[in-house]
Amino acid sequence: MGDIQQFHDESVEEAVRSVQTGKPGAFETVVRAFEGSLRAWLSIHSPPGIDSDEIAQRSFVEAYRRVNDYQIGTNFKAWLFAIARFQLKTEVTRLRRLADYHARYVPEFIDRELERRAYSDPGEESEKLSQLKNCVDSLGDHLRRFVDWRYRDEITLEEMAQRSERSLSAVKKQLWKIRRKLQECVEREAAKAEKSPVNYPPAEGVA
Amino acid sequence: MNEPKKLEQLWGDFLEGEWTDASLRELKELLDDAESEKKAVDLYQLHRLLGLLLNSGKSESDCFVAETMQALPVNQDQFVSSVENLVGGYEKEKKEKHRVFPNSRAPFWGLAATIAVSLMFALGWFLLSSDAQRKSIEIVELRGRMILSADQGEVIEQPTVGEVFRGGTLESLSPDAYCLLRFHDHTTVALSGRTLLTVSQKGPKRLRLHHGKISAQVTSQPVDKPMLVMTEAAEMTVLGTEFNVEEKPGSTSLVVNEGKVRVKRLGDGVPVDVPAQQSVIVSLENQNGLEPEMRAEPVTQWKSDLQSDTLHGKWVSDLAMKALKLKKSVSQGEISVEDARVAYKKAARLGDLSGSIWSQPTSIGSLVVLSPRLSARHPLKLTDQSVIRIRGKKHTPSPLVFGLSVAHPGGGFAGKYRSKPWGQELAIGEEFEKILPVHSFHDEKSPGKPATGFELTDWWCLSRDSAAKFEISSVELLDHSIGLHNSNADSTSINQLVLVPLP
Repeated sequence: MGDIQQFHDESVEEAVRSVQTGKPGAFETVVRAFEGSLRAWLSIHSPPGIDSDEIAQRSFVEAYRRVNDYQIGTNFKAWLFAIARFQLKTEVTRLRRLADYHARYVPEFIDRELERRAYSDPGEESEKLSQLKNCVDSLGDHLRRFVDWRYRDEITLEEMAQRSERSLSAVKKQLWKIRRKLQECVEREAAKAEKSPVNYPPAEGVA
Repeated sequence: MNEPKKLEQLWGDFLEGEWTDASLRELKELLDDAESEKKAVDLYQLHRLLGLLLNSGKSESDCFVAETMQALPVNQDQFVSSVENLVGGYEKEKKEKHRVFPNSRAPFWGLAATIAVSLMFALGWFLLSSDAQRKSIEIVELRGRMILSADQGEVIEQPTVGEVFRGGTLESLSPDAYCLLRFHDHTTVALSGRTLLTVSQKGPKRLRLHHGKISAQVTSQPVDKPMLVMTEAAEMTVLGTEFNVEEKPGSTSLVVNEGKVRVKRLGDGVPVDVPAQQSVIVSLENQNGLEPEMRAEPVTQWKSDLQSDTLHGKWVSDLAMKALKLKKSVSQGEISVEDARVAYKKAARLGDLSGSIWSQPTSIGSLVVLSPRLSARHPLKLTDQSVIRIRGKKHTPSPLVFGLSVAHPGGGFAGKYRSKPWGQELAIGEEFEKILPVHSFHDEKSPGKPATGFELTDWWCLSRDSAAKFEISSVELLDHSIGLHNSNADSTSINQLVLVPLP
């Protein structure tokens, strides 16, 4: 285990111990340590229609309520993510009960596959985020602007078409080409990381 | 286009919220093997991760942490202990600092701390303001009285065009009020008449319509962040469409002009899809069928059902008025109790259906508002042959102004039209009947634009004096067959009209 990771784990354990002994303010250290990775994990495992940040918040609140159940020296991250997994499952189940909303807005296979991944992914979303950031940074300016417009500025496709002086269908095509390019890049990065494993420090945030 | 490309294109449209039932069906057919499904889910996860990566920053992280800490349940002991720790820690820190640094150096550290705090504040402000720009809502058109309670707790009485905020509550106070909001993604929402609306942009756009009317033109929303419109009776999910919602206690009326809106009745969770050119009324009282109806053909005649149509004003039946008068006569010794009883019973046999709407005071004056859409099954089209017949009684000297709110056929707000003030022409305490051609109403914002061709959504009568008293006993939209061809004609010159009988 790297020094940074060890320091991180010790800080978290210390903070959890403080919360257990009646210092709720110490829980902020815990939230700061995991909010990036937990929000990323929930974001990619939540079906459409679910506010993943709300589930992240609920998970932290639940972890706080049950903090005395946590055994110091075990794995807090695994414990927290197990709670998050349960919270997500509860929300998905609630949505499924809402007549056919679910069937329309969430094609069944997404739901099924996301659920499968939620139980098999190890919770390395900070790493995925870092890989994706590298891939986005490697895009040329002419492609990067589309990503910024779509995901940072959240402007409409029509406005993107106007700004880039292209047709709407050309913009749509451009976006899916960029996503495919980024997906291939992330897969390459992941393959490289597998060959030369590195202990990534946990993300401080999602930025 | 080959299948993988078609799949990628359809999937891209799905992620952008640009899908139709047909494209969704096609998509499901193409996703026929595990490999395609895996690719689609990979792209979905990438899409979500991109949103998180590019739409978050340090300030957003800090907000999340602060909100989560606020959401923690704190028991009394923990609270006291945390306060003690905080105060104790601060005292300890203060003592240690004094011990380490001589007093003579304190001003230097004070200055350094001030600079550091200022820098942090400036950085925070920069981060927050750039985020605010991305999710801003701008008031682009405004008329009438309005109060904005922004989500930072600031209350702005009468905001102006160009006012920018991120979320909060808007209340329009006058029947001729109109406010057009534009979101950062060019979605527009118009409030019309007396309306109370709360807007939140934490996560997806969320609108809570407490009462009144809104019309929205919603640009494509991300499939995972549909816009939600909530009322007391219903929750509407919108991915990109044009619609109108009207809320009165316990009942929500939705008319969809373009696209499709999913409505869920909150009483029992029953959902229904309302496609273009259809409408539905969701009621908490009536939990039976929830079927959208085709938009009915417009008609050109209507007679108010005062008990159903009133949005503002107080219904007083003729029987109740009769009882009041008899009571007064008895107390003044004009008739005996027995005679009063007989007279009342005789009046009661006639039923309690007739009556009038009495004005009620508001901050902008004394007011009656009727909404034909609450009882009329057909839209009411205004033509150049349309006249409005109003019957009522004025009890105080203040002039009355009559007004019309109109909408585009099947669409959103089109304007507010008003008559000239009617003062001495209406005698106090005497019943009046006014027949006003629609073209005699004018829109102050667009003086040359007639109301003809639009649909009537509201009728109102206002006196600027809040203490004014008047009652309205009938309002009708009529289509006269002998023309009012003289465009200068107003009610004073129309004494005899041959009216087409109401169906």
